[in-house]
Order: sequence, then structure tokens, then C-alpha cells
Amino acid sequence: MKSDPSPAPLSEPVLLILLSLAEQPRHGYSILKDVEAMSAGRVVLSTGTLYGALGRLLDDRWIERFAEDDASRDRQAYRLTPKGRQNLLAEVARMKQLTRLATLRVSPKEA
Amino acid sequence: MTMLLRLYRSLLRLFPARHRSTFGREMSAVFQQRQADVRNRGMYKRSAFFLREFMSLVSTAIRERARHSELPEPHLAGGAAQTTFDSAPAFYTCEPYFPRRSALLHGGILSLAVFGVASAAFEYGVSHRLFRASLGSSQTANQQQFIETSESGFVAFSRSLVASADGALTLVLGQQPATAAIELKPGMEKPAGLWSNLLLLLRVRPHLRAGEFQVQGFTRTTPEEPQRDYASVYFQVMPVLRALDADADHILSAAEITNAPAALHSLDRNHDGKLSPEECGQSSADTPADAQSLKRAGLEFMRFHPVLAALDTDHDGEISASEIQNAAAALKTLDKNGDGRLTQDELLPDPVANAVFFVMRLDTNGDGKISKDERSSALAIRYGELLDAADQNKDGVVTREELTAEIRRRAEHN
Repeated sequence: MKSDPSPAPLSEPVLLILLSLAEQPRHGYSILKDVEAMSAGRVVLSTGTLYGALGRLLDDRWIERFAEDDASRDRQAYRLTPKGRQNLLAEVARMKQLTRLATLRVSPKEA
Repeated sequence: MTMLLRLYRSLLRLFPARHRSTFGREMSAVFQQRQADVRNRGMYKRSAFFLREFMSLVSTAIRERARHSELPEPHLAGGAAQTTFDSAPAFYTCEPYFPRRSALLHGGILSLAVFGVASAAFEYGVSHRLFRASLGSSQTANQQQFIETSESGFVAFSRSLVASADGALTLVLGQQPATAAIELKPGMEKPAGLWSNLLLLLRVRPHLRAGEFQVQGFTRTTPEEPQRDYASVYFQVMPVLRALDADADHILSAAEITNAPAALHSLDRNHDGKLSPEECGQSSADTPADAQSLKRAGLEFMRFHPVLAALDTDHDGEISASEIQNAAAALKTLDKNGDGRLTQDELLPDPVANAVFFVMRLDTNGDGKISKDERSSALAIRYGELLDAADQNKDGVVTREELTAEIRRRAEHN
């Protein structure tokens, strides 16, 4: 990992926002709907939380902002930067490793 | 709905300017869309939505401000300090953030200050009651009004009340005529316009030990009726008469006499079925502390006032349950002219005897004389001139007889 030597654990809303943008670029409202759908309605982001997280992600250059070509002038969309994608992958890999470990330790298996 | 949008937009001002200029329009656009989503939901869903939106708006704004004011910026979604041990993923719903130390200090000082001010105001409000009663208008000035309290406070009355009175208004404090009286002379300044409605505040502080404290209203002192004025003060300071005289005309009618047992029961504050000298109006501040002289002062008090002497038929210093039962009959013994009612000349102690009674409170050992030792109290110094004059044989001891003679001489001289 060349970006961050030890990326801090991501909070669940932030992780879900990144996952939502990993699929395709989205604008604010669409992120909200997607996060809600992905978590089966469990995580409902408020606009404050969403834009607080987007602000920080923009500052850290994990995502970038661009004007959607066809949309009305107010529509700003967001997409992952290469750095953001890398960090997301690193986080997912870490979680994968952890879930593998958890499965080994927790599942009822005669060893 | 537009009102809520307007509220949302105004709350956006809480955010740092940079955040607001970048996301402001977008946020309110998304908010509007979300608002449209919940429009047809139930009341509960709608209010939950708005509550969540506004709460998070405020908390995010605070966090954004902290983030922009603090350097170095905290890491994304938690800083180095928040790396969990064995690096387990932490699913924070609220990103951890810690305010600056100086902010904590200022916040602490501010909340202490607010707490201090609030509790001081509360303390003050509790210990300073405002006794307004109905002392506000000139119509009520010659009615008797009683405020009983054991707290200090303010008595409020309007300036026009004082200014419009024919004579002076007398405010009687405490339970004995001699305790204190404040005279308010008709104003030298004419009340005009706004100022006439201003309330005058009189600070009242109970200084009597233990017992009840009373602000006994105003009486209009009319020069034409000196007797009535003495009577009204006397009726006010004697709880027994106040209770008996239901219509406050300073005359005990036949009906009021018949109703006497019930009226007396209302004075039984400790509900032991009988009336002690204190319950009959003896001021506890005027009595000596030791039990023996307390008892003697009580006996003297009960013997001195005609109405109490009549009620306390066995003269044991208190009005027992059976004496309360027979109160009507006992009161009738005072009816010298047999007209079925008790008038002031039948109820009031002789003014000379009254004055002697109060001065003789100095006689703490009860031997009927005021010795040199007994003249050292503050009260005695106040009466110094009178006592010197009364001491005809200049032996330094004033007897009851000497005192009575001197007071009678002065009364006749006036």
C-alpha cells in the first residue's frame, strides 16, 4: 500500500458511501438512496452526516467532484479517485481477513 | 413545509463558510428531495426524519467547525489515537472527535458561571417573597389585611395609595403593638402620571425568634377617631380577636360570640386541642429564654388581656379544650352592659395598663420591680428616660406602682 501506511478503520456510513461510489459516480441524493438500499434500510443518512463525510473525503482526496454533463446546473456528482479506490480496497481486504479469522475462531468446528 | 426548509437553510449558517459555499445549495436541494420522500408517510416517520435531520445538522456543523479550526486535521473517520487495539474494524456511527482543551476550559467556566447566576437568582427568589396582598389601592387601605409569614420579603403598595390617604398609613409589624410600626406620611411630592403607579417596596425581615411573623396591613389613621384606631391596631395584633371578629368591625356580635369555639379552633396551630400563650399572640421574641420565666410571662400575658383572661377561666395560662367549648359563655361575662355584644370599651385593655404591661416585661425575675440589673437590656435603655422619671424615691428600683403613676401622669398631661 503506497498511499497510507496504516489507514484508520472507516466508520460504517463512510464505508457505505465509498462502496456506493465504487459502483458508479453519483450525486448526493442518489448516494443516500443507495446507502439505504445497500443496508436494507438500516443505515439512513441525514444530509448533515452525508455532506460532513463528503467534505472530509474531498479534503483527503479520496473522492472528487464533477459537474454532471446532462443534469441541471445544481447537480454535482462525486466519484472515487484512484487513491480512494485503493484505500477502499485495502479496507475491504483487511475486513476480509478479519472475517476469515472470525469464521475460523467462532464457528463451531471440531479441530 | 417551506418553513422547515427556511429553518434548514438558516441552520446551514452554523457551518464554516467554506463548507457552506461548497455544499450549501446542494444540501438544501437534497433536503427538499428527502422531504418530498417522507411527505406521504405517517406523522411519526415525518417527525423522526425532521428530528434526525436537524440534530445531525447541528452536530455536523459543530464537528466541521472543530475540524477547520484545529490543526493538524484529525484523520479521516478517527485519528491515530482511535486505532483500536488488535486493529479490529470499528463501526462508529459518530466519528470520534475531541474538542480543544481551551474550549473545554472555557465551556466549563461558562457553565459554572451560568449555574452560579441561575442558582443565585433562585436563592434570591425563594428567600425574598413579594407580599402584594391587596394593599394596592386606596379603597382597600382602611380594610384590614394580614400577611402572615415566617420569611422575609417585600411589601408592595402603590405611591398613590400613600398620597391619597387622609392621615398617615401605619404598617404594623410583629405581634405586639410595641414591636414595630412604620408610618407612611402622605407624600410631599404629588404623584403624577406614570410615577403614581409605581410600587413602593418595603423590605420586611422577620427578626422574631422562631414564631410566626406578620405584616399586619395598613390602617388609615384618621384623627377624628383615635379610639377606633387604637382598637383596630389592637384587633390586628391579637390573633384571638382577629379570629373572633369575623366581619372585622371591631365589635363582637352575638353571632360571633356563639361561633367562638370554632373560631378559636382555627388558632390551634399545633392541633393539641388547646391554645398556648404563643398561639394567642404572645411574641416569643419578647419572652426570656428559660422555662420558668417563659411560663410566668405567659401567665402575665393571659391575665393582662381582658378577652384572654375571660377565656382562660381557671387562669392556668392556656385555653384548654373545655375552655374553648365554653368560650361563648366565658365571653358573655365581659358584656358589662348586657347588650349581647362586646364593644371596644369591653374588650380593650386600659391604655395605661397596656403601656405598664409592656414596660414591665423588663421585670425578668417577676418580683414586680425593675432593678438596676434588669435595666441593662437594649429595650430598657430605650425606656431609660421614662424609668428615671418614674423612680420617684431615686433608689434605682422602679416598682409597678411607680411606673403606673408616671404613665398615668403623662397620659393625663397629654
